[in-house]
Amino acid sequence: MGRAVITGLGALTAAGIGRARLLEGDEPAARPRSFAPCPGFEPVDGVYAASLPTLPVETLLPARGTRALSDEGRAGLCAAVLACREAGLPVPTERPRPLAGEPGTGVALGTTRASLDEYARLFTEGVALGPELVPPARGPRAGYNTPASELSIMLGATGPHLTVCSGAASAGEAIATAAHLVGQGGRATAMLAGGIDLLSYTAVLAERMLHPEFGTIPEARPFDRDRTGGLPGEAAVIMVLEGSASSRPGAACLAEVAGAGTAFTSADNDAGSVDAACRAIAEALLGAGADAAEVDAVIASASGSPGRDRTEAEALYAMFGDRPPVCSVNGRVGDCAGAGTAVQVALAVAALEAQRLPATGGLRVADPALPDIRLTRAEAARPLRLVLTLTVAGGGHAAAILLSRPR
Amino acid sequence: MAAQPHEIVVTGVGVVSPVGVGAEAFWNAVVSGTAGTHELTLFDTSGYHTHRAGEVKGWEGETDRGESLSRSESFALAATGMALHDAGLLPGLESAHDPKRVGVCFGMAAGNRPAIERPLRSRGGWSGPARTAHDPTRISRLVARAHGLDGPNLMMLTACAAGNSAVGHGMELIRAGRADAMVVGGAEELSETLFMMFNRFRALAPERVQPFDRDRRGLMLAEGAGVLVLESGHLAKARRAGVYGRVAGYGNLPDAHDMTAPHPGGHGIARSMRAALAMAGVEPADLDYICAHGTGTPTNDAAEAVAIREVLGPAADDVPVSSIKSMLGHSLGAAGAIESVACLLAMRDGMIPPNMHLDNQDPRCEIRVAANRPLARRMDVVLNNSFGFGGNNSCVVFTAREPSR
Repeated sequence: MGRAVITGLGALTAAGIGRARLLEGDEPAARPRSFAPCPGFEPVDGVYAASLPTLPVETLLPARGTRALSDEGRAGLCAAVLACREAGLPVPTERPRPLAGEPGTGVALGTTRASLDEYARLFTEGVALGPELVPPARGPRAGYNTPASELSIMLGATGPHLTVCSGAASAGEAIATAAHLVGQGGRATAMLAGGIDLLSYTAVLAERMLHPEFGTIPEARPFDRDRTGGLPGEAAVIMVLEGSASSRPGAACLAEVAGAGTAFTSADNDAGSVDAACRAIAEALLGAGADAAEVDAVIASASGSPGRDRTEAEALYAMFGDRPPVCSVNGRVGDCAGAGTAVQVALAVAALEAQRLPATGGLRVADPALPDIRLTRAEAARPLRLVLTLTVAGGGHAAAILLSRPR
Repeated sequence: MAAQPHEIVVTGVGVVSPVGVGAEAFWNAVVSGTAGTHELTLFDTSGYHTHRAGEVKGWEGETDRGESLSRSESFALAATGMALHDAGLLPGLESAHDPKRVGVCFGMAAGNRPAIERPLRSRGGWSGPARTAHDPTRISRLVARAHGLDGPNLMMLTACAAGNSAVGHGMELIRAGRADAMVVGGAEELSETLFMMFNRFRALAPERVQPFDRDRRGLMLAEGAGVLVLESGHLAKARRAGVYGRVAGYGNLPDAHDMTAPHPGGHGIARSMRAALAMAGVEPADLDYICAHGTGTPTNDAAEAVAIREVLGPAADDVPVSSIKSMLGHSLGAAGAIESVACLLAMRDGMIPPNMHLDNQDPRCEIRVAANRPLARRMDVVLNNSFGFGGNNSCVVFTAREPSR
């Protein structure tokens, strides 16, 4: 894989606005939440979730053209504008203006739920009101591609464009692809890469069909003996990736994407999932030309799920033993679905900048049945040069991104 | 002919479509100009302006571990089985490839999402496919699980460009060394939500689809799946696999213009076409055929024609263009994959499928449309165009394994 560097990063999570907020505090951020129902449906109340703060739309986004955006698109645009500003890329105040010349700045986003609620509302409003009374603006917002398309339109991003999904590893796939595009032969001038997934009425309704406990657990406890499930989260995290050979004036390197790996298992069992996670890590290490012993810390995806946390702990132990410190902030910011890896990368960048690792929020008593990995208990200063993110998804997908301090 | 470095070849194809199930049935129908668009039976259309679509009639469906599947999931599984069998990998995949080096990449627009419509209408009864319709990875995971494929696994969600995106991305994964082979494709099922939306936009043709016609009135929604087996050229050669052609180039540059309307100047389309041709190392004048996106909507066809003229220049007078959506309708995220199969079979047989229902070519569409009857022509280089809402564009170049010139 060619070298790619992160020159700007916008992170909106339940911890707040900005990646530094991910390092702070260790208390679960769950709050009971209500969702406005689709026409003719009962409201859903008391859903425990880690929710985004109020978005600073007025200070970040152009006055015109943003009202019709999807919820995901608006959150993604806020994150993208923060990232572009930090990277020193021009942000149009009125749409659209190309961000850069050929081949242009592209967009690669991961998501699992984008526009699910718009799709359901389009249908239920059509059934309730009649097809002719459906607000026409809903239609274009009802596709998975909506947030990425809205970003490219609002920012004039004309480079390679894609929306991908591989479950909770979606943003990892997007970041890996984007890093490849900027690192290999200049297929893109820069890439806006990351993940967006928000909670919604339909998402809660649908998730509960498969997982009745969704949103019922007030405290998520990653890797804990008493963990019973994850906390639903939401996030919009976008980073500007550029080729390391780029010497654009005003560009500061926040971190380097030294390696990236994604993997999958078709086996519906723990052993297969552990194997996929190990393969993802191995691919990231290979891409970086790094040895497992060089990894200084791991940002895990553990969210309190009995099965997924076990899979992740077994994979980490198999690859690293009990050496590097491992932390997860998903007890605080929740399981952010397709945006999860992007949240982890944002935390890794913050950790590399601050040379600190956060506590594993929600962890009280480490599960003695898990392999003996070295879990962080409190925020602490540490020398960090290489930080790995590992995302283990429920359906057999895994993603690993290896980040290094700027050279 | 020796395999070239980074050569990615297509060794198997499979299709489920409104005009035929199975690649040969599909191809025979397409070459003979058979329309697959009829009165819809999957849902009640009495409240809508239009009533026709490209429905896969009589589909029995499949199950997974006793659970019924959504139509798109079922289409994907069926077309994958056909493609792997056609590639000589079913049975025998494990002896030909390490399953950890064989991945799955599918495209979809709504994909399996329409399965939530039934419980949303009835306000209950989330059973069967509805329970998993919020999970877009179902299709790629089901396909992988059915055949034990542990390589890269993902869905491309680039609206109606998604089928082509999957083909292009699959090629890129093999080129990057992340896989030796990829099962790529697109799958879509008819969605009442999207039928409702396109009706609201007055974008649906009432009787027939007429791409590039002066009097075209819109698209017709359709469903189905197209699947291609891509392999690294040297591995395909080593196992003496039959080869349909190479996937040689891919361009996916957006319009960055509007959520519904294409850029009227076809800027993103033209840039994607050029990017695909450049990656393939061929000139626009080398093209022997363009399988158009050609939905039959006034704005889309005009923008595509402008882009083709801009990229090809005077060669646009000579390179035949046709849209098989004139027969199949528009299967959204599956369309690019199904049309990719058409491109490969066109090269194999030296036969360009017709653009049906062209009565009077729109003078604003200054391209050479292969109108109403198939056109015999030896082909070495073909281009497949797919575009979608939000300015998504995906163009893929296929080349013949044994060029004639």
